[in-house]
Amino acid sequence: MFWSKIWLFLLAAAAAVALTIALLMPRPAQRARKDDDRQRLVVACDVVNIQLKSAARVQIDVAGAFARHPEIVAVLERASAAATIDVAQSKAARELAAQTIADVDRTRPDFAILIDRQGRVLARAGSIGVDTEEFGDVIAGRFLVDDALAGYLRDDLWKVGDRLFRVSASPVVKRDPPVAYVGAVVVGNAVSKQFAEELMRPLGATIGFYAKGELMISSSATVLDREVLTEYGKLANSPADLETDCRSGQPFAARSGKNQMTALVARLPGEARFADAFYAVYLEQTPTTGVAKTLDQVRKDDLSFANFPWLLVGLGFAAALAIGLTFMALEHDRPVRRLVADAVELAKGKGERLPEERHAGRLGSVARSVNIVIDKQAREARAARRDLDQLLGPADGSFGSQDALEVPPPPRPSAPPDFRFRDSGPGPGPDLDLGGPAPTPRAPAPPRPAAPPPRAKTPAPIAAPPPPRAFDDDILASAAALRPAPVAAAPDEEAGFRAVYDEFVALKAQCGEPTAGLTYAKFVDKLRKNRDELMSKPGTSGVRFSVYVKDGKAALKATPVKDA
Amino acid sequence: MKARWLLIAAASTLIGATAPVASAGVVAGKLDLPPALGDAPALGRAFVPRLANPLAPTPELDPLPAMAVVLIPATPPAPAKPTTVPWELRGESFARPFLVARVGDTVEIRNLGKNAPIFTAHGQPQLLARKPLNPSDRVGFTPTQPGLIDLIDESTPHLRGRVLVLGTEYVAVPDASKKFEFPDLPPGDYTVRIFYAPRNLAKAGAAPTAAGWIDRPDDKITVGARRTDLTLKLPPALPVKP
Repeated sequence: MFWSKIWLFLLAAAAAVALTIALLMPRPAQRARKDDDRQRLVVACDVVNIQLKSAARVQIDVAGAFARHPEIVAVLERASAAATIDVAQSKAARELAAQTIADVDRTRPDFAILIDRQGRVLARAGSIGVDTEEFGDVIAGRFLVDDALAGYLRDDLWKVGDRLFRVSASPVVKRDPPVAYVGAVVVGNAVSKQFAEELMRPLGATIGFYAKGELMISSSATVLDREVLTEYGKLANSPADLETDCRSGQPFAARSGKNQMTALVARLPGEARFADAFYAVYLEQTPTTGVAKTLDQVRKDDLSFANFPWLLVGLGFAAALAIGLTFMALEHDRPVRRLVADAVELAKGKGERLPEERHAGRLGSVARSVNIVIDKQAREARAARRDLDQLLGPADGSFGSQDALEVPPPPRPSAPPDFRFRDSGPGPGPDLDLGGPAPTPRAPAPPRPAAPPPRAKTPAPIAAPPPPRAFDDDILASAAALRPAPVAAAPDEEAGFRAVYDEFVALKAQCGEPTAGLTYAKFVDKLRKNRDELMSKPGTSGVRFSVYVKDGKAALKATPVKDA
Repeated sequence: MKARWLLIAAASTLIGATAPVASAGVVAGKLDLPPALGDAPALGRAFVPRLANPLAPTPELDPLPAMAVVLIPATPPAPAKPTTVPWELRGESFARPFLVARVGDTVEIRNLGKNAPIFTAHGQPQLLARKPLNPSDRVGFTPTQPGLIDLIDESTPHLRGRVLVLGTEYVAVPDASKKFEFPDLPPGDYTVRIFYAPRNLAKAGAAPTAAGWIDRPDDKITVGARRTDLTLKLPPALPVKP
């Protein structure tokens, strides 16, 4: 079994390694997916920057288009020259601005502000972000307006109330000589939910715009918890350029209610920077995947022959199975079969013992144990025979020195099948028929050997030995050599004893043994005792005595008759 | 005889009337700015850099609104009576982003806009009460030490004002043609200095944009009965010193 055990160990080790790999494999994939998500966030953050820049350029173009509008140039020239701005001037300018807004198709601003050369608001127009009734106030001072009045086009990000506005401005230049600056135009768009959604549409993430520690707008209902402000706090005073925030920032874990998110923050520029404006791009965190979830994600296509090495797996399985079966056959099945064959041979009487040398290892131990039992049975049989010698008395006066009464051992209740008792029942014929050696025929009496030394007339009483235990009756005698004798039955008990006695005496005489000391009373007494002893064994309904010749001498055998 | 006495009396009256005019001097002059001051400083930046418009040339930096020509008398005069210096807040900016006042004068901010800023003086938190200045309301403060006061509105990054507090009253602000004039100066020796306080673009709490006396050799003048004309040449890039 050595190689079988080694193989089992190798298979178990391989299974353990496979299980370890199966448990570990999702982790690198999980890590890779997290890295992908982080990279996706960085890209999304960068793309947001690019889109905001692009939107700013478009908006600057819109502001420039407003500033070149001839009527706007004219109204601002007149307002710049006036000491004060009256209601009529403002209203006319507001209607003009509203009409100009309406003329813009796709990039229509939410509002427009017309500013004269002195920085005063001539008119405000639009739907949100401005009070259209308000005019005459000085808006110069804002960086965007001052730059526009100084001749520059630019954009900015304003926080007005609880909203953020993308704004752009353009100087208004009177191009008719003498060329002169006559004011500026500011156009603006709210950072709305729609704008946020459009930013995120190609990116599959969520964006939230924050200022003054509050969420201004988000592209979805998923809103980050307060830890996003903590993360922004780490970035707020960084001396690095704002444009590097996306690439140098580290994505962090944040929560949105019960959802785990991965987020990245970047500062917003412009005047809104002074209001601590920033945006956060975030994704739902990839759930932790174990073996079960990984298996759930396996598709039918993954198991196709094109994608999975079924042949290799099958060959490996077949090889492992073949090697295992080979080792089992070599180290278990074949030795067991050999032992079984030897046991059957033993049962058939073709040997007296199991050949231990043919069996190694534990099967050898089994063989040795069986042999030990066989040897023990033989020893007990010999002891039983000696006991019967004592039973039959001394050789010179009673049964003779060569008398023997063989008493078979009681049946073993759990004897192996190959050594099972078989009760042949009363009647002629052998008690056992296991195909043993041919029964010794009752041959004519051999020449009488020299008289054995006389036995002591009064042999020392021998304690009755326990009934010998054997695997089979024929361990003690060959059943075929027995001559059946009448069963000692109660009605004819005396007749049966007499018959046995007569036969025994006759056989002794036939064998040339002396019968002078053998009296019927003594003989019957012993038989009764022997019968009673055997009858006390469970399952015994009677005792059959038979007479036979053994080694040229008359012998007796007591055979228990078992219950039906 | 009577006519002769009338002539003497008239002459005396004329002489008496002209005598005070002869005792007050006039100092006038012009600033000679360096040739290339460059573009106006970028006032922050959002998503894209600012672009010069293609229709008209963009003007160079105009430092004049942020300058003051100061005459420091060799003999300090008797302190003048304190006055109130009004400072108008018009919407998103002050009418004059740079104001000059004397020690002891009261600077009164008048809110003519519609916002309610909360002004604080950088480095001098006790100078102004920390409360909103509501529209049409006014608030004053009286500096007791000469120096520069930077007012900031923490909620509005662009709303900044600078006040130069001096121990002298001889201050002139150049006009758009770079000219200045001191019309009524007591005779005596003076040192001419130019203070430059460009727009403070620093974030609230941060050190303000540098301001100070322009780093150039001081001009010494003696004011007498005659008009004194000055041409003050300024160094390139207008460096300042505390």
